[in-house]
Amino acid sequence: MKKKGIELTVGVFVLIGILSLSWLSFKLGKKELLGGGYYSVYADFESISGLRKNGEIEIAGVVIGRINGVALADGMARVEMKIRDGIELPEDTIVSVKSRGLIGDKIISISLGGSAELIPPGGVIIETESAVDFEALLSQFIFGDV
Amino acid sequence: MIQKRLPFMAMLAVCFLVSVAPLAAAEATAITEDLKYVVDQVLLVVADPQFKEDKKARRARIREIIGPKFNYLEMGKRSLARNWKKLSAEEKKEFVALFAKLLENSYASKIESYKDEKIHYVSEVVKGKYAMVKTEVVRKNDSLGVDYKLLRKGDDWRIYDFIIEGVSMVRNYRSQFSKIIRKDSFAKLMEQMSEKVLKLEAQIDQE
Repeated sequence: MKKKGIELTVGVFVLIGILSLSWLSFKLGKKELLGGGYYSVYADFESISGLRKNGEIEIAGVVIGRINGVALADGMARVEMKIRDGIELPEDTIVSVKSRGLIGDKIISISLGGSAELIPPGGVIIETESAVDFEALLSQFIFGDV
Repeated sequence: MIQKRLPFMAMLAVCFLVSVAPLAAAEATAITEDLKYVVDQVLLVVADPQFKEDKKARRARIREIIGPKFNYLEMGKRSLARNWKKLSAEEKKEFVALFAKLLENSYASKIESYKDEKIHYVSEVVKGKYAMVKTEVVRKNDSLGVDYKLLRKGDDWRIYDFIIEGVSMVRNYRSQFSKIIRKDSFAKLMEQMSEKVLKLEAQIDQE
């Protein structure tokens, strides 16, 4: 009887442990977008070095979407962005590839425009700023102009 | 899932290109040629010895040349973004005029320090009423990427943004303006811009 009781207790604790770990990993891990509540827009960049699928998209530092895919189109990088429903993007919105800090993760930062027209779902954002090549700028600064 | 969509997206891209290509080919050189003409005119004035002593006259002449090519209204509107529609018609007019002055003074000295660098017109892309002309200013040991973004109004293509080394002028000013307006007010922004214009003008007069 005692043995069974102990085994049962251990079993329950193991189960609780596994459930807790699953909950923790789900909470902490990158959640896959479930489809509902987001719409897609596209933007073409000349260089997105470092930007990958699931990269974050922010407005004023607040994450409002994620990169759903990156493809090559016409020599440019076509990025598919999933934006949360309810976030409106005016036509003259500018999207830029930025880093967290100087050499951190690459993200997309959105600078909202003021146009009355909005980018529709599936539409293309015309105004883009590509990733800045800091090493090139640094070497220009170090070696200067002749 | 994106793998399945890739062929479809590629097909869409091809359809888009095929439909736009004939139109693009017809206008492709016209926009660049137009822009090239204006740039060449400006460079002629910069190199012209008759203006060497009279900086003010040179500046006025350059302003005359680039005026019709620059869409200052669009530049100002995009730089203010959401704050634009909050302004009265009078305020909008004043802002655009002041913004134009700020730009002229900020870039005048850079234009005037041009010394025989070669300008390469790299490519031109047209998407509906938007166009982008990429150029390279080749200096002795490096090259500077200067891209012009143009907007078509009727038959005219006018510049509404510059991308210098990957950085958009409009986005640069938009960040600064929204910060100032949020922290203080639109009036304060106008004040700061006026002060900057005066400072730049004083600097120029001293050169």
